[in-house]
Amino acid sequence: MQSHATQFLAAPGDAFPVKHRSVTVDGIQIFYREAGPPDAPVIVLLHGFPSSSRMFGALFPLLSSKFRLIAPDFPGFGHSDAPAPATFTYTFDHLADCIRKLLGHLNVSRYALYLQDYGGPIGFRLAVQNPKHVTALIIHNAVVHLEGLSEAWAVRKAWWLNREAHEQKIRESLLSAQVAQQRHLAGVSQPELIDPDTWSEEFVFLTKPGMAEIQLDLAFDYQSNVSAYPQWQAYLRDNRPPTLVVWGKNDPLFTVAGALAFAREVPETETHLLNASHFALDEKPVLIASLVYQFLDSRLAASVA
Amino acid sequence: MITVRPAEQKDAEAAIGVVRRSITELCVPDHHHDEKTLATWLANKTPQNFLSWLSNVDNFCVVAESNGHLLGVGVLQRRCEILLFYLAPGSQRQGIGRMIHATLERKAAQWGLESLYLESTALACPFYEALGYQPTGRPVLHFGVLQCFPHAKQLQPDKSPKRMRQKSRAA
Repeated sequence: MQSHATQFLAAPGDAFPVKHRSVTVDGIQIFYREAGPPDAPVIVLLHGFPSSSRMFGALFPLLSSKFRLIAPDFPGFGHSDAPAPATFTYTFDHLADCIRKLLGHLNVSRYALYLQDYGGPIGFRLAVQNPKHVTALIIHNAVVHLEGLSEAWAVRKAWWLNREAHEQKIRESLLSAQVAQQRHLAGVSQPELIDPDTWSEEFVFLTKPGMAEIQLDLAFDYQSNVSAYPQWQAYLRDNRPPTLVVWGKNDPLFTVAGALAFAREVPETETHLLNASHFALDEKPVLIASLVYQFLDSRLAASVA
Repeated sequence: MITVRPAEQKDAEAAIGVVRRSITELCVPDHHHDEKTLATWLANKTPQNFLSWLSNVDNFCVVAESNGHLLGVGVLQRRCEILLFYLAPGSQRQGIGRMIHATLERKAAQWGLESLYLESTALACPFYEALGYQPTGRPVLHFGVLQCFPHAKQLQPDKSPKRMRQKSRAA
């Protein structure tokens, strides 16, 4: 196991540097990071809230010699355009539609999906619409079961039922520096491992003019994901994609029960609970890269070799 | 007679003694007498830490006892995980481990848990697999030379009671 990890560190990641690119989809500039051999098996990495493709920074040099990595920023996030809600509807359906078009533009029709947090609902929309595109699923703290949502979701659930009554509370948390920090520090056993840039840049991002309206609309639409969980579970049962669950078990938002539930739908699921939190890549990048590499290397044997 | 009961503060010294002897004397196929591995493995196995595990309301700690002697220790964590399970040297293959796990699984069911996860030593893999655990993936290297073998067990494959529990938890 260790040899794989050290092999990564010795791997010539510099041979496949990260390209920072963007394309226009439906008039929106979509930014993405790309690295790896053009003919290698593709991993599409979909980021969480309120992060961006930047969250995969540590993973890129560890995997880019073996895989073609494509990590977009969703509309409204990172370096992608963030038009006002008056001109762009911020729903998970719409974001998934943009990412689907981006992949079409890049001629990518066979890919493993690496999904974290918001990346889950966007990735599952892609998978349900085109099951044959998906070679494997890597689930990193992304939920498709009700029991995966911890009690910390109570306020959001109340908000979904009555937007006006609870919106102020949600907005305050969205614009709070302390909450921004806790998104990365809560559940972390060694806070000194966490680069403060992670949360300080997210705080700057969230407090940009007009950003709260965008993120409120999208977070309000999160309930459409919860409604879709049965459909996504059925997709898993019917298609049984090779599935790897790498899950920070100290995540205050997404429960371990939600991690273990994937094996109910896909019994061959490989599951690893890591001593890490929601953004487990901040804490365990080499371990996660090693698990992803070994999993895809064994499950996609024909195409990797 | 062997009984399995919830651990108490007074058990801390003896329980940690069981854990440390179990690791040192039984888990040889795991640590191979590698000093660094053994030292790291034992580092947090202290009576003070046992008391902190005991005081965590999300943990359920049990001990197996016979004639005033502790023979085994198990800790279940509410987040679907068996955190710790060790038998004293000489106490294996007598059903004591099964008794401890039956007690932990009853508590897991009371908590409404549907699955349990654990990371096994190489030594204990056959035992867990006999209890119905399935390996969930390749072993992960922890400190030194120690490999941990992830396993999980679905407690209730039947989905019908889930909604009721979901509701009762929300209520």
